[in-house]
Amino acid sequence: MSCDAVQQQLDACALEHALAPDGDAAAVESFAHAASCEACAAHLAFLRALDAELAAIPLAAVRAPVVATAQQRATRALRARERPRGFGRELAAALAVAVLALPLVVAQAFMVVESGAWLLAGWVPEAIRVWLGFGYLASFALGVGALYGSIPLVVAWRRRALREWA
Amino acid sequence: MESDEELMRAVAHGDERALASLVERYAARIHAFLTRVTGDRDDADDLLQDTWVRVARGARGFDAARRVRPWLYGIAANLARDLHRRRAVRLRAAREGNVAANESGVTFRSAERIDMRERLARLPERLREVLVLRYFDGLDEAEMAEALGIPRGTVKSRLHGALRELRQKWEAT
Repeated sequence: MSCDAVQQQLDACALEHALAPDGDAAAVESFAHAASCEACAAHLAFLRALDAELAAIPLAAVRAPVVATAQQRATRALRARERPRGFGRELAAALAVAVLALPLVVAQAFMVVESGAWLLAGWVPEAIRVWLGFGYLASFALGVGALYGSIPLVVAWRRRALREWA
Repeated sequence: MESDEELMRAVAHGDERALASLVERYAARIHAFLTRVTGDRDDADDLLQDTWVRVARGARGFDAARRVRPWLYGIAANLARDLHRRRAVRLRAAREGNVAANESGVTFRSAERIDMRERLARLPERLREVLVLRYFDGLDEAEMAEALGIPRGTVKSRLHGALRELRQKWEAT
């Protein structure tokens, strides 16, 4: 066995908390090799020191309230994961509010376009004004579409968050 | 006693008692893993809770062919990595702003006095997590590969890399 192979075998023994020459044939051979090889003996000394020091690292036990809180939060998350009752009603209410606000939003966009057209009428060619108006309306439509499309997601997220933190 | 996988199947169907059994079975072990990986007990407390919330949320999508133990450790390791990344960003920002602060939560003593806990804390995270999973939690290479989402060969090389680095640090002190 080469020193590399021996040291890898010794590493494996250390990671299995088996740093004694009584394992399988490969382990026994590795310990025998380390007994007569300075480099491998040094590696074995390091592994024994490592094993002793790692085992001596104190570790505070988890506190009972931490476990209890973890369990409560997990239980709430488990319940929240179930199909939420009343989701349709809540979604309908959110959509109704959004739809009620839509005429105002559209009217405001229309006024922006009209005012812009009026302000620029004297010194910007019509083709450019039409292009600007079209660009504004297109981005407005995209924004409104994304906003309305996100309503079901926001309602679902809000319901889950409320249930988990209730 | 029900196996972890049986309990997980029950959790997937909304069984709160099964979830409680899993928490009872693994909370201490996962907490110990998180404490060793993050080096901070309070962080471990927070991450333990997040781990179980993720377990509950992901229970329905849990692949029945998988083993539960590596899945749990995988969730905990991911959360610890996220925390480490956030800390690194904050630390970089603090350094860039010339703020003298050590936000890593690990305070190092002078080189001649450092002990194994500090040597472990100074290991790169990818090496530390495999060493902790193997040495302290007893996961085998296949389980570690599953938990960390890396090939077994990478697990092996990281384990030996961790021991090599620890030996260099040990010899240097």
